[in-house]
Amino acid sequence: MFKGDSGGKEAIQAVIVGDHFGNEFRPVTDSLPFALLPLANIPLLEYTLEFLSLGGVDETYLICCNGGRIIEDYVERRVKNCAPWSRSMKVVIIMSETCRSFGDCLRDLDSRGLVRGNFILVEAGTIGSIDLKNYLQKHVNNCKNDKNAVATVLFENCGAGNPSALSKNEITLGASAKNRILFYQNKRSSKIEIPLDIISGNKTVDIFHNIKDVHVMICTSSVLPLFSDNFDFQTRDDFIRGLLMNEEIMGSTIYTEFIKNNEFGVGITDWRSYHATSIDVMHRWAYPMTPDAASAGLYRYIKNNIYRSQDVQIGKNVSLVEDVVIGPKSVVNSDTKITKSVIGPNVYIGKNVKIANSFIFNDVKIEDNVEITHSVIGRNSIVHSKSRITMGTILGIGVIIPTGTKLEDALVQSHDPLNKDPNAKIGPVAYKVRFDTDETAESGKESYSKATSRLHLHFPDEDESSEGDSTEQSEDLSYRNSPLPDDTNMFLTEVMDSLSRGYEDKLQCDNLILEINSSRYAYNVSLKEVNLNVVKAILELAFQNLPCKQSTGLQYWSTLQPLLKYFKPILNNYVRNRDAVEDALQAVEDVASSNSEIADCVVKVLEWFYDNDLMAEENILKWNSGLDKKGKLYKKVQPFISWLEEAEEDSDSDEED
Amino acid sequence: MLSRLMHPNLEKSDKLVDTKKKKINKMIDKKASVKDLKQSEDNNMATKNRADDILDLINDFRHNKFKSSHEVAIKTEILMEKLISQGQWTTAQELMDLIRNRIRIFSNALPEETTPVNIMRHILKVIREEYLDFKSKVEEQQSLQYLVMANPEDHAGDYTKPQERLRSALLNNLTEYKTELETSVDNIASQALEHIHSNEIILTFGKSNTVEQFLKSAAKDRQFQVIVVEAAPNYKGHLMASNLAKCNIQTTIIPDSAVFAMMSRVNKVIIGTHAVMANGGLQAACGAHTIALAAKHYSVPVMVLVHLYKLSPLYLCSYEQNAFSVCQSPASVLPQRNGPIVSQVHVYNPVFDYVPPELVTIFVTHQGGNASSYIYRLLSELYHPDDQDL
Repeated sequence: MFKGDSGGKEAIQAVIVGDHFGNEFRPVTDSLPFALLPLANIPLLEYTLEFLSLGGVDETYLICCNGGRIIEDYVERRVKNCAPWSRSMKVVIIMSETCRSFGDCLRDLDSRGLVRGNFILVEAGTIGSIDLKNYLQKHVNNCKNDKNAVATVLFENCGAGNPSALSKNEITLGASAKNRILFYQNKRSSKIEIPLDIISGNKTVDIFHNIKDVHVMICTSSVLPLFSDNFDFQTRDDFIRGLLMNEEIMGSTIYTEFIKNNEFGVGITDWRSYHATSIDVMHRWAYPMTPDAASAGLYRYIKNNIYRSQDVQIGKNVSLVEDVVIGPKSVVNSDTKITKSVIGPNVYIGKNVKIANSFIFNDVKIEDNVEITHSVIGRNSIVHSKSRITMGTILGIGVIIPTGTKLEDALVQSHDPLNKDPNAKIGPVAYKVRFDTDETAESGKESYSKATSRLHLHFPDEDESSEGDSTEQSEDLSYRNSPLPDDTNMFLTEVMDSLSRGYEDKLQCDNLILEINSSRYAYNVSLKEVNLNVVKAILELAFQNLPCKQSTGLQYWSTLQPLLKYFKPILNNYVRNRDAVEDALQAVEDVASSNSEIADCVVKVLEWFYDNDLMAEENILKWNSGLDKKGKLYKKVQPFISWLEEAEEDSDSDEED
Repeated sequence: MLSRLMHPNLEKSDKLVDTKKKKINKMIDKKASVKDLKQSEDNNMATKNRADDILDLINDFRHNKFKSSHEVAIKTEILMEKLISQGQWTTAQELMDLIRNRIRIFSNALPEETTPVNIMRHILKVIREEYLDFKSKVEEQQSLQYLVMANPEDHAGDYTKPQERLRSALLNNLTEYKTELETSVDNIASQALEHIHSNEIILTFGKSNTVEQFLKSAAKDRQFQVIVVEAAPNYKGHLMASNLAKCNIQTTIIPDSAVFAMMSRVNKVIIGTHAVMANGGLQAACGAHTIALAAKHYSVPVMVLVHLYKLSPLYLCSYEQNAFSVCQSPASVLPQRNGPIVSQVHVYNPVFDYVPPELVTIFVTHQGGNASSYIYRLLSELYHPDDQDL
């Protein structure tokens, strides 16, 4: 099982699940497999294979589902053309066209029995530059120390608000000191509930929030059987959550590692992460997988992260602002402005076109005066002049947009979706469509999560999401400010009620004790809190009985004194041992810190307690040493304390005499 | 009668033998043709796999397998030796085409790495010389008249005549070249005492194997002090400093920003380089230009230790040249954990600096010291003018 520790001799294996299993990338992925979706004009699969090869992998199993033949052809062609990864890594293609989820693929892989030792599990769309050998070694060490360890998940510490991490989901992770995952939550919510037993059962728990999933999991061979045994595991998240929930039953543990600062990893799961990763690739985070390095001199890298193919025709007065890739044989006509966008190969762009934050795939024709922002134009599409395509519009393959069309937040495909919706038709070869994605079914009411799921990427001014966040936060705050309907507080008011009633009606103190005890059980309050609250109640009762609101310490004391006298039996009953005295002193401190009146006469209160043998001098001295030395209370108490100390010395000397 | 009787038999048998022979011949022919097929298949395979060796070399580069340029040089030389001894070529022209093809593949994939290309280019020149050498020997035997009458330009570009002994001669030549490569570091290091004097303060930058050996060799006989610039963001200077300190050299490490402040106290700057351009400018680790400028300001001599295989016949045309501006991942400069700011800024992490030739005082090769204005002369010794442009 732990063959990996025999050193570099053992071939390092990796498994790529070559599909995305969702509607997120439709209609662009209708005829193009997700694995071959171009990112900065290079198919995603190419990045993943190169990432694995540079990470030190010797053998890769690529599981193909939708469009498996196309992927196979692609890989064969690349091997023939001596792709860089093909030199040191063998790629085995597994056709599992019946698989409908991530879990299905792994179950299929398990039934084939190809993978025997530790392996690295990634998805198509995982991009990075990580020294995988290093983390494989760490995984092997984890396995040595913990026989139940089955997997190590890699994360990247990426700081709050990183756009690559800002997908629909936010990860919260709890890990022990030895990097064992104790808690895992992958959803966006304002509240995080962490089970108590995680905190109580471990000496230290690190809670991580600003992290990004790099979609790399290093697995032992027992991971595949686990998928087979639990056929409800559909995704990787299911797997992690399932193992954590049923830890006792399955007896399997998962570990986590954080990749180093100078490494980079990301997984593409939706358009949002696609956009963010495109920018990252243009900013050279995935080095050496950059457009200029990957395509052997096809692109030239110019300042402001512009990648220009050698044979691009660029007209007069064209401004390429920043973060632009322009593929070979493309034509850009005069007065056009392009920023933060990817233009595929063989694209024709007319005059005075504005393109920002968009992705134009290959063989697209865009006529004059078109504006495209935050959108994707699928291959072979034609956009006729004066159209505006904005706000997360995604055009499928071969769509023709008629002159002057305005599109906002729409999915458009070239063939009739057959639902006979008259509004759906934009042109003869352009129809609006809808795909029910999983998360809209779950949380249809949340338009926010839907909005962030598409290509709305206002990086500098995250107006939408920040608005959402702020409202969430303000809700939180109001919730926090309202007084807690706590049992202890209810108990305090109850005690105060019964005491004031008892004082007015001159009830027997024994009866009052009974009453307090019964409310103690009613509200399930500990003895400590009873002691504290009874003393508190008596001290606060004096305020209620004060003649006027503006009062001094003397007036307070004159009202408190009879109360104390009257309730002495109760105090005798509760303030019995040393702990109780501590509680009583705590109560005095609490009330004194919130009311200046009692602070003025705190010495008198303490003296009364002392004289009536309710408090011993060592209790008070101990309490005094615990007080804040700079606080007002400490200063007020000092005369009494010094008197006490002197008395003690006197008594000591008396004893000596 | 007997003879008569015998005769037809003989004839018959002869005929039989003939037919048999024919059959056998046919068989042999068939076999031969099968062999030919196989051979041609092999040839096809060979043409397919022709550039495998260079692709493996590129792969090694991508996987960061080389620790020093010296390793690269040796590896390339071994590759060339194999190609000459085992490669499918009969004439010098074919061999040169094979090598040219490799140069093209390599410089397309890794335009910034010049060492393997330089070595291959040098070997091209060696082939040319050897070929012409043989040719002139053959022609010496011919009449004087032929030599006088013959137009030398007729044969200048012609390397198509097969020569049997070319292969072994080339291999001999390469063995010599290999020893030259292997001893280059030691040869440069042995000159250390000529350049480093007692109680000098020497400033060096980042990590260079050659500079390390150079300083160590000087430290055997002389006491001096070394200041190592750490070379952010890779901080290779740290390793350099610890290696020097292990050899009892008094070493100080300083950040890149302190170079100017320290320069006034420095007696000499000794650095290595990634490559030397045709005009004597350096393609050196990023940060070298600052050091060279600071040295110029304080009139401190800058010494560059360089192996001959680092001399490249290329010029720097613009800073956007593919071969020059290699920018690495910004991760080591501005890690992702810095949050959203990371995606809003452009971070450049270039690997190389261009140092103009006028800032370099002296180049130290294994043959001795040269001024930067002399580089063109060395280049013409190393490479044939026809091989500059490939």
